[in-house]
Amino acid sequence: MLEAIAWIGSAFIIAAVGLSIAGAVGVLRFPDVYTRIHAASITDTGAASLMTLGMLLMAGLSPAAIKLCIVWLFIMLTSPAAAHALAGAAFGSGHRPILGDPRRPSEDET
Amino acid sequence: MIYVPGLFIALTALWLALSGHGEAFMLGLAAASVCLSLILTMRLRLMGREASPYHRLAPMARYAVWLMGEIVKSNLAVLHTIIEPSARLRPRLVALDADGRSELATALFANSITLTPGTVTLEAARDGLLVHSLHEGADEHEEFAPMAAKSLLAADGRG
Amino acid sequence: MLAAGVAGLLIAMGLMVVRLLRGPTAYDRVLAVNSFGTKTVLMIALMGFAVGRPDFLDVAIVYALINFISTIALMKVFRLRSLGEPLARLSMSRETPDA
Repeated sequence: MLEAIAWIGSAFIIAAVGLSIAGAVGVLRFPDVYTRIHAASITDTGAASLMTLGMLLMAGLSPAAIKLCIVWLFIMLTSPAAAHALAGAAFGSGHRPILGDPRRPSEDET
Repeated sequence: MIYVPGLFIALTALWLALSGHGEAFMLGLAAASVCLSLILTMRLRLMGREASPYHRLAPMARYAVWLMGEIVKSNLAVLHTIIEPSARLRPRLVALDADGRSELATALFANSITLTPGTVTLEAARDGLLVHSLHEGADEHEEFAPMAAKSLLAADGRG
Repeated sequence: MLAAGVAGLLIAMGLMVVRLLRGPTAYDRVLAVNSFGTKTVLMIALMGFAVGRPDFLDVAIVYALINFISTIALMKVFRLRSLGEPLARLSMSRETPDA
């Protein structure tokens, strides 16, 4: 039983690492800052949550579980604030987002 | 002033959860750090109904559960955009009305938008939000309507 | 299994370094650093489990806080220095503002 739970936990962790790599690939592939923020927030929310779940399953009921929850809560509280500060600062300094379909520049795009 | 004992209890619980120590010396340090945090919070005038909305804890908790589901959905959507080579990006800016929200409701709504991958709040002001969105949606205002309604209900208690 | 997880996170962090070096804007670089930091937090926690020392979680908590504060501080510096429409109450219309 405990073995099985530990295996499920490992599966969650591997899935989280996959998400994290996917987010990093997105940060490399996407065309401008604003779209890259979306890719990075996959790591902040999805990967962090999945990994916390996985480690919670492996840790069981222990002081480490409380700390894991605190780490998760910190990440979930701070990542939107950081993303908003980043996007707001970029926008406020005059960086224009690419709008529409970036691969086919249309006439309304400046 | 219910907020001072409330924050005191929360800080003490956090300290105990993080350290797990019980010796007298360590407890003295704990009391000192908790008091320092309390004083700093009061000096910054952060104490109050908006900063610690105890009266809305239950609706906020329900909203958080709903938000988790939304985060899972939008994670999958952005993941699909990244790993599907043919997936089209269609970034756009959306202006959302404030609809007479309180500041708490605006903060909750803006944070929820930023927390879900695929949408980021560029500017949050009293008269509305400016949102950058990654995906093409059928109708831009319909897309945010459920989150707007639910966050308003959670923070202000009206629909 | 945990070692594979740590290795995967290292790959993701390597990709972040590529974005950090390529830029092109300063905001891209800060985003890369912030995302790198989040991955580092996860990796510290994971390594704590891999070597059987959950005390590493304390380090992860502190790292998460430092990561957040450094991003906010950098953005504050950027914002106050940029004289072009700072703390923008720019147009709330759909059009991008004329910079």
